[in-house]
Amino acid sequence: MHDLLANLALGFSVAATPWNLVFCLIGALVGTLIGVLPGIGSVATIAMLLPITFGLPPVGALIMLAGIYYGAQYGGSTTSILVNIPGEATSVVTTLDGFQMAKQGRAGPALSIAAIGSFFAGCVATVLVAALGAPLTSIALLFGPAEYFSLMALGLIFAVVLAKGSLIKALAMILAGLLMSMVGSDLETGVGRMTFDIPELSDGIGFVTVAMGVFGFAEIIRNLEGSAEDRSIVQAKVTGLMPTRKDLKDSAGAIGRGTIIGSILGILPGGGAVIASFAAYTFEKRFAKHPERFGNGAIEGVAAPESANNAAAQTAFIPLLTLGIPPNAVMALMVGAMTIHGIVPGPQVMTKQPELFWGMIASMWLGNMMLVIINLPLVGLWVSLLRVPYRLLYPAILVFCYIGIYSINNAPADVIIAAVFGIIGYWLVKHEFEPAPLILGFVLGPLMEENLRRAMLIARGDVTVFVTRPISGTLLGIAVLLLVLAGLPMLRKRREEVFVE
Amino acid sequence: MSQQMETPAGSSERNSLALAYAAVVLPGLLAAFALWAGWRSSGNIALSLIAAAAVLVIVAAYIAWRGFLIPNPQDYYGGLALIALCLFAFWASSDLPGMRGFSFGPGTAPRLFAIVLMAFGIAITAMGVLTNGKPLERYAVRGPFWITVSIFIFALTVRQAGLVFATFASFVVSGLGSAETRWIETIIAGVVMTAFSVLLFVYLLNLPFQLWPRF
Repeated sequence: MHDLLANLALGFSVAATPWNLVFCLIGALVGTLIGVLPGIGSVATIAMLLPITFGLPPVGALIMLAGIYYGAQYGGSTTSILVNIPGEATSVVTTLDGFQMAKQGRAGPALSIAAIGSFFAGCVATVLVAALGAPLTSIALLFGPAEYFSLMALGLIFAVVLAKGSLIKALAMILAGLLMSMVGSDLETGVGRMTFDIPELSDGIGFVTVAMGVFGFAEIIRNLEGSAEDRSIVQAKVTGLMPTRKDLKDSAGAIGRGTIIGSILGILPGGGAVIASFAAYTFEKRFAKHPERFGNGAIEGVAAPESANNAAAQTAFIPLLTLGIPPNAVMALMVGAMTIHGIVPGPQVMTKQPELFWGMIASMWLGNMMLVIINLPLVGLWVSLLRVPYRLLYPAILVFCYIGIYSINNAPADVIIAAVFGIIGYWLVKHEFEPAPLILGFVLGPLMEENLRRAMLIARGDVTVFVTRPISGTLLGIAVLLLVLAGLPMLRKRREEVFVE
Repeated sequence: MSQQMETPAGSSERNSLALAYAAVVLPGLLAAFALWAGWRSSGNIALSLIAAAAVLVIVAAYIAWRGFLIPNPQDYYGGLALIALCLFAFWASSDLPGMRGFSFGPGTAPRLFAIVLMAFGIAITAMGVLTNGKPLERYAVRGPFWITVSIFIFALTVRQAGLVFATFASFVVSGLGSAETRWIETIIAGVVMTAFSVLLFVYLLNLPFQLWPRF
């Protein structure tokens, strides 16, 4: 405990110099401003802004990057809430209730609670990283391929439970996502799979491309169907920017639970943060007194996944700092930035450059704080964007999406692929298939296949390995249980319908 | 479709139920037959899969055209589309090697996922005839069409004609997708938007975009 305090004190003495605070503030501000453009997610934002940190001293640069990172992430959540376009996989769940809240004129409280929840989760997770960083790494080491496969299976089941409509259609959407994620080069042999010799497909289809299509384009196409009056009612209703006392009371528990779930799952490299946000939402919906509120603008449905993804974003630093494994694309970019400044992430950082290690942990907390300082005042500005008439707003959103997708690989073909997914997304809405499970399947597909292949190889083709290994078996058990719990009410309803007839 | 949904229940109900069962059994049988026939005649699994998918599409189109009473058309056509997607995936991955001993080949996982999805697709199609549901919603044409055109304009011009042209043209064309668009306003907004993106992405963020047409 004493060590912890001493270490944190060291960290803050490094991080909290006036100049560093300024860097952090600028980073968070710029990150938010770029990240909030629809179509430009956190990976794209960080990649675009990385060069501005090159001229700074290492600690200042990392602190600014932390600011950019949190800013970009929050910016992604902002677009999820305001225009139903998730900036990254972890904020897909936020669209479910966040956008509904915005439609009911409650975008302000949704944005505020996302910032507050993120800040709380960030505080807890920062202390967790500082206190338990090294020991927690051992959790990640307990996870072999079989465990990872089961964890992802469980994660996919979360997506089923959070679905509003039919269970079987949600399962089908997950499978469709998995199937689509198979497009691209095979990991082991490098053979192009289902690429039809189109060079742009050989790298696979990017998350941003699919998300922009299925969420962004499809939502706009669907909105254009409705009459102007429907939308103007939505715009006129904007009430209150800050959450009410009741909102805060409702979401307090959700923030706490989301933080715990996010902190634990964030440690696991690969999909941990994504699964965390889905898990937190599912958990809230499962144990809510009125689960039917979810998907119709429940504030817990924003608070829980936003806290979870921020906590996970924080604890995702643990494998990076202790093992040198970047758990996701954003972290991989951070590794790149560190390497540019001559820092090799890994176990040595903690012992050889303690002031850097602890300074970085302190800067995470500072980044989170800046986020709240910047964003609570900005909520009003974001909400007022909704007052722009839709006939001008939608072309602007579209054009930002085009540029965002194009900027990732400088590939015009990506924009066209997104258009295809837009039409698919529109069709899905018309047939009451939900896009969120599709996206989750799509994100987890390659990881799932990789771990399945590895597990089967290690077990020499023995399928029972998933059940006989304790952690893996438990995870699969929970998955089956969740599925049964989700299926039961449906069966009961079906029976009632039969009786009525 | 919608007027069919309002058919009064009664003597026609049993008849329609029989038709509904036919609607789920028929495409399946025909596709299976196409698969078998293709396999027997050519020995080429890819070709026979295409044939089976084609049969599915034709049967679905025929059913839609004749307006058979399908109690839950959303699920019925949704399921059929998923089955078609699976057949397509089978065809697309048929050139990939599968299992070698107990190690996965590149084609194993795609086919595995496709088989499971196929099972769900069949179940959803079956739900489409066994449960009652909402009628199909009407598809809008104007919005999807002009937005797609706008996307193509951006994608096809951004390299050669540059960001300025691509942004402005795609902004204005996407405005065609809505009946509410006021042209003067949209053109002014397009100019502002173009200037803003050029300033932001090219001058502030230094992204390597072509600005003006290249000759």
